[in-house]
Amino acid sequence: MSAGAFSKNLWPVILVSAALLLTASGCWSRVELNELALVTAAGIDKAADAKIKLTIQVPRPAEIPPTAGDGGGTMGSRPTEVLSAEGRSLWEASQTLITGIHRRLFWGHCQAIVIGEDLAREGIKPVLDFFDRQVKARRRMWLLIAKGSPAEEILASRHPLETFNAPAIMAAMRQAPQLSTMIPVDLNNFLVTLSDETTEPLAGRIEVVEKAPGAGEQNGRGAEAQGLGQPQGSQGTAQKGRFVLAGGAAFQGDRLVGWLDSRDARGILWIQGRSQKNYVLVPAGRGEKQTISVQVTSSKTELIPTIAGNSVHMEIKLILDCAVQEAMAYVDLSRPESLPPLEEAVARQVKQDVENALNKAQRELRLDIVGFGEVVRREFPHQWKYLKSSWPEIFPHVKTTITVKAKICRVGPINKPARG
Amino acid sequence: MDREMISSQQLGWLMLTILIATPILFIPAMIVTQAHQDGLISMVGAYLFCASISWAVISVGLRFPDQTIFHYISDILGPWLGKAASLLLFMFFAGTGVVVTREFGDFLVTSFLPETPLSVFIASIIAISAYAVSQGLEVIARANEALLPWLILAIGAILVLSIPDIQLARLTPLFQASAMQVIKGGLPAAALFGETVAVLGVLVPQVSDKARLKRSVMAGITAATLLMLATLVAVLGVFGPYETARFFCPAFGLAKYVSVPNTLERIESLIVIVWIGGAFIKISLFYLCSVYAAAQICGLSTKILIPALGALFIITPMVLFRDSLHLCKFLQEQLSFTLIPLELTILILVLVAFLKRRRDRAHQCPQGRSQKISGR
Repeated sequence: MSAGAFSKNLWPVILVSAALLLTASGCWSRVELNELALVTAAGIDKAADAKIKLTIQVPRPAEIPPTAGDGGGTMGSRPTEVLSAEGRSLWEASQTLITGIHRRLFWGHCQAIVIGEDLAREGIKPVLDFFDRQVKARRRMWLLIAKGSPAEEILASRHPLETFNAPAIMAAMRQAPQLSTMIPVDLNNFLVTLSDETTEPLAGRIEVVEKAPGAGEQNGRGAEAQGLGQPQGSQGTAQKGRFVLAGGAAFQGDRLVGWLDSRDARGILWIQGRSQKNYVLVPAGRGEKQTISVQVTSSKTELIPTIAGNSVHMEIKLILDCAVQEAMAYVDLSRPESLPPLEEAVARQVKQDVENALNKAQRELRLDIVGFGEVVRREFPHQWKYLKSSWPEIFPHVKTTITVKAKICRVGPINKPARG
Repeated sequence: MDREMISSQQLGWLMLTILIATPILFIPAMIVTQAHQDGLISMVGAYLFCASISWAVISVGLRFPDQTIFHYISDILGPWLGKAASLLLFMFFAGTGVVVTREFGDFLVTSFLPETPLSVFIASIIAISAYAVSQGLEVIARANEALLPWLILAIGAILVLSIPDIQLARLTPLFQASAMQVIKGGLPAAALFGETVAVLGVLVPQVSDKARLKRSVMAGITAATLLMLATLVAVLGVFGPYETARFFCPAFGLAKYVSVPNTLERIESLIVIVWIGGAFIKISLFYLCSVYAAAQICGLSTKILIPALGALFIITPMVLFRDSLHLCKFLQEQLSFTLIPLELTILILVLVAFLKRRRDRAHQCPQGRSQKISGR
């Protein structure tokens, strides 16, 4: 190819490529980061006059990384801001927020929705639609119900280690399978359960454990929190207490009707087969105070329903693999014979947890929060047509048989506890 | 227009693209709305419909190895019926192309760039497609070969990453929907999958290695069906039947939901790869086929037809539907009643042509087969 022909062919290509470069920077919907407020967590509360209060947590752009500046001390200034606005709808409230901060709200990074107890008791379906309809928002957002305090207070509370609440919630949720003391539910789980025929949805439970720093000092926890990161003397609205995530919130339809504590949560996770790494403390012997700590490394749950007339029986089978994590008392872990009693003790404990959760669901709440109805529907689709309408009355009377088989597979890198 | 040749493998790839590119976003919701979990059965039904009519059209097309569907229909059924058939095919290609173009723009506006006017997306995709069409079938087929692996990779990534969130229990119990619901769910899928029939009728003569044609096309259709089934399993397993039906595009919802904690999230941009890449190929192919059909009807050159039809493809999608809800309603409720009769008419025309030809042959020379061989 001659040089002339080459350049003759090349010029149009160069021109077109150059023209295409202009389009690479985007077009109409182009938004720069400094026009956005990245919402990391949202809180929703009931306000006066049937209004809704939307609280958002957004990072303050100039404060990342936190600068030593106002008030002195590196922890003195918070890199996040908590803002609230009221409106007849969430959309209206979000528009009011925009006029206050002169930035558009970006929902793509929102990691948690915290809903105040008052609002939750009236029904949360109306306020969830907003998040489901935002193009950028994702159904991964954790859904948490604030017990005893408005959601605003949760967002304003301060986590001892994290500078943002939202990552702290995320971190807590990631530990959920390790601890199994709370029920991790995201927006998708909630909506999908809500769409189930009979299963009542659950949500996470979040509460402020200490009020203002001054009030918190009287107990040991308060001192711990002080030591960890609440500088003396730094004041402001964003300095209230600390939150914990534990247990769960039980709904009937989209209305909050009751609370679950950590033990209920654990039992429910066992039944639903969602508990992956749970731990169990068993006494080393009869009447002994010292315990052996056993962690469940994997578990499998089987729910087998049987129907006789109008009465439903549910067999709950749990198979657990465990590992010993701690032996405070003497157990000869070098001998296989010493394992069966331990395994039995673990199974007994787990069975008690399950019984406790069933008791909560069947006697106290009388709501199918464990999903037995769905299991029956899948197993007996024909009979289900007749059972469906009366399921709320049937569920509290579902008889259960619980069998737990625990197997200790590992005792750790040493066998018996120290001699002496 | 001069005849460019593509390989049968390229044709198979093209079939795969046109069957997954747009349906993968819209079909799952349509099927699940009607048939719930049994949408899987509806999908298999749509596959059987698509495979059988494609098989028939290829079989007949192979009897007329050098003629397009327009030629052999007008040769055998006479010029007037031939013109009518060409018009029918033109309406089919142009209509489908218009709907796909509108779907393309509408999805981008709804899900990614809400402030950009619809006309910008439509005009730009048609401009690019017009260029591709002017370059001919071979270029489109090659572009598809370059794009398709990425499409499959993107869909595959979304599906694989959604595995941890899939609860297979949500797919059970099967066989709960009535036969009517299963059929209603399957109709839109069958209509969209049946689009292959007309495309194959036009493209068969341009395939160079006709011996492997059937196998390649069937492989393409089967692969597309498997991908659709996998997508259905994923969206049903993650969202359950009721929530799936609430999405316009469940696969997009799935891509948004997928998460590998701390590592990989927000992979919905992968959907854009599938969407823009796939829609480009699909629109180009239907654009090209409608240019062929229009050339057959009015005898104008492609130099005039490409810009003229381009204008049609830009204006019609914007005026045809008032809003995205009307588009969705059309796709859900009316599309199947428009497309399936058209597809069946095309199939019948092809079969009539084939039977008439065989009868004429038998009439003219009783020892037809030997005659034909000696004639060569």
